[in-house]
Amino acid sequence: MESKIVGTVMPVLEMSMQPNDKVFAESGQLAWMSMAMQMQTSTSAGGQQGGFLGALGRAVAGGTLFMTEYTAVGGPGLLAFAAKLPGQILPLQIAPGQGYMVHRHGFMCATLGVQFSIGFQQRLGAGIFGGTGFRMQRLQGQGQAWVELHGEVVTYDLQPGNTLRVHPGHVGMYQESVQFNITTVPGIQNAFFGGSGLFLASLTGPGRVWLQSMTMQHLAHAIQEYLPKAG
Amino acid sequence: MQRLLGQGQAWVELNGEVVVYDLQPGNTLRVHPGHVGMYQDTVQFNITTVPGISNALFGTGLFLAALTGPGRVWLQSMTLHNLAHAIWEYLPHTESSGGLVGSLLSGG
Repeated sequence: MESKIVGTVMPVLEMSMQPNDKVFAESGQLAWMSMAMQMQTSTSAGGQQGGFLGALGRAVAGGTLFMTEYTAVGGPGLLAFAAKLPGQILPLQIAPGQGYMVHRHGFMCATLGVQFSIGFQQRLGAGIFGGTGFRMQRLQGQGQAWVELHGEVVTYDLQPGNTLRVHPGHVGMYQESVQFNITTVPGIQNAFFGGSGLFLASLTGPGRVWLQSMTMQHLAHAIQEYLPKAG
Repeated sequence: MQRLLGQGQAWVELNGEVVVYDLQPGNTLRVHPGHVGMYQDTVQFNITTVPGISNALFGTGLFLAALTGPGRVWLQSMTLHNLAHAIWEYLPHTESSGGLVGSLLSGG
């Protein structure tokens, strides 16, 4: 299997698959494919564990109940996924102890052997973050995965104990060695008049973090005033 | 789709990145309909259903566009449908408005 990232601002992930090569993705992510590709959709496609509850967890994390497995059958095949917003597609090598937490719209596809699940649902954040809660996707196991981060991507290597506080939407991805907490901003004026809201994500090393400049929330907020008001 | 025929010059816009494939005769590419940007009129276009009922009900939806050569196709990475779908949940909806407190707490 070979992968190629086509384009710059709105990239496409194009996979050249050898016969019997398989990848899985959340259902509905497909952009295009050649005739040699076969799809199979179910809650456990792609070798995902956790059964129906695991699938429910994924749905709560902002994904879908169903995963689709793509297999090249009878010859080489071509398969493509497209980024949903301007940004970057990053390939990840996943191994035991080397997992990643990815923002909730980040996962594109992975080889079999990678486990895709809900990362966490921060107790404090649940029900507070615009009714959608604050969730990440978790990638563990063994294999290769591809994720999309939105806008420009800024990377920091955090030393042990080193903490960066981030507006939650800008958290694109981090190594699972990084500790994540939702913290409140000290000072009541900061919270009410600072414009950043009450909560920041605090990321503590050791490990690498990938922050993203564009968030779906900010984009939605920016274009909101140009949309017709429904009632 | 829109059709351009006759004689002269035309300009079109495709959205996002544009990926071009030259399809050999009989060669078929199946495409999520929103990603079909443009194709030469030698290319055959059909709407096909995805085989497998669970694919249809729970997957990409019931339909894919099948583009069959000979001819060149231009696929676009950005679809208005995907963009609208992506940001939809972040837009205020009348039935679930959080009001001032909600917007304060959500952090803008």
